[in-house]
Amino acid sequence: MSEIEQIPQSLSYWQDVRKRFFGNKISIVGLAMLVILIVAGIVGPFISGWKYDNLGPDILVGPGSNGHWLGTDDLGRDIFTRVTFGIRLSLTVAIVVTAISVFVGVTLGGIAGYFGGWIDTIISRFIDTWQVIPFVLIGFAIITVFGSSFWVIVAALVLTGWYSTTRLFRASVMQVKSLDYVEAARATGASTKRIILRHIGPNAIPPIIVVLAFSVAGAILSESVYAFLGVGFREPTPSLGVMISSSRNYLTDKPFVFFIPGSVLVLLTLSIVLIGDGLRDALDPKLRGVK
Amino acid sequence: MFTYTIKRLLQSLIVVWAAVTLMFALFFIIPGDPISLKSGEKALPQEILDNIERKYGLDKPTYVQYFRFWGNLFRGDLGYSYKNDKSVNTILHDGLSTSARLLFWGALLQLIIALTVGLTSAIKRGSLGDRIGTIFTVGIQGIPVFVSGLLAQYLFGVLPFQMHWDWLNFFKPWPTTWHAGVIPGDSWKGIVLPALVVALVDAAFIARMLRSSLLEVLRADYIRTAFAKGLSARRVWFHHALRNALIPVVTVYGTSLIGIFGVAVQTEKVFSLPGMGSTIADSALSQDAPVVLGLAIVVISFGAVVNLIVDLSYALIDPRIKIDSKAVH
Repeated sequence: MSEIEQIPQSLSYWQDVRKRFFGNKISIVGLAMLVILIVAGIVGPFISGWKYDNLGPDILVGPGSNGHWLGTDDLGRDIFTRVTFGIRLSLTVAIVVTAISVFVGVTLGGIAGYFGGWIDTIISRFIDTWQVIPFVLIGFAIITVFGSSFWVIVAALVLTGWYSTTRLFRASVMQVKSLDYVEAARATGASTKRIILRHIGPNAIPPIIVVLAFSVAGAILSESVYAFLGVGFREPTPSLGVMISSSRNYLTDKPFVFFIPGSVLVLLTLSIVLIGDGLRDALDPKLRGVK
Repeated sequence: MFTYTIKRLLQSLIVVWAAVTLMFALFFIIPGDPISLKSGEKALPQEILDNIERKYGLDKPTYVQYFRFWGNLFRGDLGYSYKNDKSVNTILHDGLSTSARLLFWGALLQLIIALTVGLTSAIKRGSLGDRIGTIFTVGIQGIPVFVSGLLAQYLFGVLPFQMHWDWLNFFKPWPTTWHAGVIPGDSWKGIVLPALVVALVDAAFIARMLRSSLLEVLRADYIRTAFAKGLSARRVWFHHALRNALIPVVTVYGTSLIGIFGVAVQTEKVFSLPGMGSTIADSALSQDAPVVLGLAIVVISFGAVVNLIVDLSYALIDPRIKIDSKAVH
């Protein structure tokens, strides 16, 4: 009997994606960082022994002193508790904002891209208009009027982020729509609903996943920018942007008050950007088999 | 090309009109009035309140205020601040010179950094420089502008001051004259940090875009053909590859220029620069609607012009793009 040829195991698209994602060192680093930060965000506030708005007698003490693992801020509040709470807040806001923006983006972008014509013109011109307004101004207007509660901030962030997801989905639906297999489906008499859900939908999923990752990172950044400029969450809410903003006066003497929330914010967004980068490469069918 | 330019120009005008109207709606229909700004907590007699309302034209219905606003705008009058009655034209003039210099140097640095990093890492793909460049460009994307601004202040201001490394101290006052930035005396040092902070974030993004776009172009057959014909590497790179790789880069650079105002707001706040960004932020917080709207018009028009230039430049870079509205999208 002749020797059996070694046939490489055939992988489905998603198996291959998983293999490539986990084979990428950079995305593993990002994933590990994110997991550590999420765990810190979940358990941190419980195990520190302090509350995030507990004022204490130890003002601006360095990390490790008097039972404050990462020191205290200018009001004597425990930085570790506040930072871990900040991670929780950032991620919650970012996930809610992303979920809503992607929903808006998929709906509006899908409608504009699939139907084209005057619907597309209206939506596209509206995006053009929205895009030239600086995003901080939209946030300023909404937050100064409606106050800085959780849902108002979420709304402001959705209003600053919805158009980029919409534009992206519009482009990707338009591209998929003109492909031959969609034409073929239409020729066999498939309904519009069926074409959208069964034919266009699955092919539009990979870009959606990548957008999800990047818009979570973007929402975290925008939330912190609003907080820093004084139009987002306000004291005593432990948003990372609020903490960085109030640390500015101590940059010379007590730089740790800036560096701790600053580096947590950077690591948080960076880990998500790294994961997004890895996902983009892993999901790109053109890069399949490329080492 | 001519008809397309005119058509595109008209579209931009409509976009500016719509965006300004939207801003008007956001800041004028919703609360925020000169009365509470002036009186604070104190209760004023009704007569004075009525007088203040009349002075700013707030006793008229909103649509009258709206048309009056456009009428004044065409006469070059942006109105007066609710807070201190300063002319918005003056406020704009003061802020614009600071912001224009900041954004000019920022955008220039951005282009230089992006082209250098993107080109070298694509040409020397896989080298140590490329790897450092990749780590650098990916890493920077996670850093918000205000954090990098504070970090820059610490590294090039606080630390050198405490260590007495005077040569490293770039935390100098912002120069007040135009030529200070152009003809470097010592005052250029004040511009370096803010401009670098403005430049870095999107420079990293553009560099990555340029690198991947160049690498994709380089796989094309005509590049192999060009090398096979015996053309010099320099000619292939700059004549054949770069031009084709530039199209996505121009889009990204345009988007980044439109968004640069958001970066300017943060940079000006962090470095306490008296520019348009910090003025707009402060005025928006105190609901000083005429100032916000007056400055926003400039920012919005700038964005529309950049959009227009980006669209028109596609046709110049890539003659394959057909100039009719269908193909442009």
